[in-house]
Amino acid sequence: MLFQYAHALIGFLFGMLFVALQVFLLVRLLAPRVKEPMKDSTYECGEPPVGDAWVRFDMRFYTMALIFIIFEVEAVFLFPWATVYNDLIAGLRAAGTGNVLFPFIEVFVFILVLGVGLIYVWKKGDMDWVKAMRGQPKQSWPPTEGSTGERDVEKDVA
Amino acid sequence: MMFFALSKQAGQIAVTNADVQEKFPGLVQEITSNLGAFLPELILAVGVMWVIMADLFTRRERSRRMGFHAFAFVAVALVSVICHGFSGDQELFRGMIVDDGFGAFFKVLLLVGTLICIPMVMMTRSFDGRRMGEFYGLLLGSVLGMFLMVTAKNMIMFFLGIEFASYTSYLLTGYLKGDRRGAEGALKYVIYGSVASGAMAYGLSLLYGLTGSLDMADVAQGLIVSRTTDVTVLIAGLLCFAGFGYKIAAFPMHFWSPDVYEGAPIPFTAFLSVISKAAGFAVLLRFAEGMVGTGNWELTLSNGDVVGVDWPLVVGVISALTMTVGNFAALFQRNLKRLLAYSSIAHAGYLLMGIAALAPGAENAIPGWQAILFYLVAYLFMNLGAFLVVSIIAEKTGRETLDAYRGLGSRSALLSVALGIFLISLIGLPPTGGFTGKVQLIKAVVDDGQIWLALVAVVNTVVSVYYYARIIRLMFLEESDDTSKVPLSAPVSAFVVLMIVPVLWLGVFFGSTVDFIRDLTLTLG
Repeated sequence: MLFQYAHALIGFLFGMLFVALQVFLLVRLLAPRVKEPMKDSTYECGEPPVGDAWVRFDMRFYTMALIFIIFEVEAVFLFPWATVYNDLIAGLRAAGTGNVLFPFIEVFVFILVLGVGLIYVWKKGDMDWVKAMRGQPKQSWPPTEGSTGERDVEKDVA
Repeated sequence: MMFFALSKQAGQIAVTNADVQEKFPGLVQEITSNLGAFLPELILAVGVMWVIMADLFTRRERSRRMGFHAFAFVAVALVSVICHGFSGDQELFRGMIVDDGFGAFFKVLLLVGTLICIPMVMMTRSFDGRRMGEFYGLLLGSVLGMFLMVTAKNMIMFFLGIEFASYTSYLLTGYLKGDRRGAEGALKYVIYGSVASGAMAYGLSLLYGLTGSLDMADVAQGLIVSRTTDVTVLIAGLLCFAGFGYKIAAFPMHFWSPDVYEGAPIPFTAFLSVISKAAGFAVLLRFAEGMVGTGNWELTLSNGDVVGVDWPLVVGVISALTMTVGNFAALFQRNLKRLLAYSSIAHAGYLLMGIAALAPGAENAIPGWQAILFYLVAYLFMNLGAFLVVSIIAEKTGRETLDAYRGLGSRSALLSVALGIFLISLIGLPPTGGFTGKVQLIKAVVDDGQIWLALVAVVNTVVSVYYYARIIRLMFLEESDDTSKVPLSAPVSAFVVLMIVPVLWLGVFFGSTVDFIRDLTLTLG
């Protein structure tokens, strides 16, 4: 029974073989090769690269991503709801059963649950880019005179 | 729920505005009428949010009071489950979950276990000075996930429930930030868990591909009626078992459990070893009722050979291996948490015997699943009791190793007698719940004609006597340099006594529980 798919497997294998031939063999035979130091640079168009690609990335962006999800999920579910809202109400009115406000209440509960998440990050201080360390006064943004707005690393360590 | 149901219909026909208007009112009625049976879950969901929110507006020093809030929510949920009763027999939310006696029984089991674990958390000093709202929020969330597991009828719901319960468990295992063993345990738990869930998701997708349905009853029916003759069924069954086996820590998937149990905070270890395991067995039972409960399957391979897959034998072998591995590994443990971890692997093996004997072979025989249910009740009290004593000793002496128990008999009569009773019950000796439970499991296997499995279980019990009895000997027959009394407050003593009572009750007056379980219905999940 499995053998009826054999032609698919054979086609797959030949496809792979063909691509491999094309990429490695054909190109090697046909393409001109000019050795030049510029060829080894990151951008062949002549743009000199600046610095290392392995830069340090601020850890706090992951909180931003999480907060973004709260609003994104909200939008994703609210759009389809909003497009059919009038029909939902009309349907309930016509049937005469159940509470006409049901579609509204259900979405309200949904937003309430997401709102809990929002209150949580807010209260935990994750909405502030410049976070106050425990036992230190909160810094303001934009930075006031004499402060760079960056956290004083040595103070944090101490 | 509303949108999911609508989009489910959208697969069949294009949805027009008129369709929405026509079908929505019926849907609303269906959902609102189902909400009553869904009340315990709703209470827990509100509890999760309440505990986390209330903790935000509480001072750090008072954060441990969140335990009372969580306790109250669990207690209210328990009352609502009991008020709803055990005679339900309906599908909720278009076949996503079912409301039946089996599910209600497990809900009570989970909630009672959680009610025992929460005071244990509140007694633990390593949580001092930490915000506890999130701990209780995750704990309630875990129970909510397990509720969805034990009542799931749809394979998507199975998967979501298991994932929900797993993710919260990963977080709770590593809750003590900066604790190296906790972090190690949590990481191992995540890695093993992801692999197992991945395997299970693949298995479920194969079943969906074979039968074209996500509903467990339809899948089971489709497989039984067609007697689908393909190796794929065997592979799908084994892959799904990988997921369930990981939840209950059965033999090839048990490697995570000793490290996780050792690393997690003791109350949460207790929670994992009993409550998480019970939920895993509930899912496995529902699944097995469809896949295994029908007995042997004859499979025809592509070359025309007919191969009978003896599911009871497959499960029986896994069961025998699980209990043997658990018991022999436990023999050499010095850390009591680790010892109890291996012992709980062994108990998963004993419980799996019930699944091997799922279909009653003889007239009037106890079906395997009822024996499992009884054993889980006994196991709940005896294992949580043992963990309670271990947790108290760890609090008082700061040690979890066996040395801490040397001469405990003269230092605290109550604790040592209580631990003695729990251990005797774990061995499976009368007059305790462990004995009556194990007798039922062995009887179910013998009635099913699998004498060899019963023999393996009995031999394993004898092996387990060695390491359980060693603790009892240390407590009563050896003397310790430190002879000071272990101080116990009155509520803690009462708590310990309260745990002893059901263990002895189930050993002597087991009839009422057995009858209660016999009346439950197991709707095919």
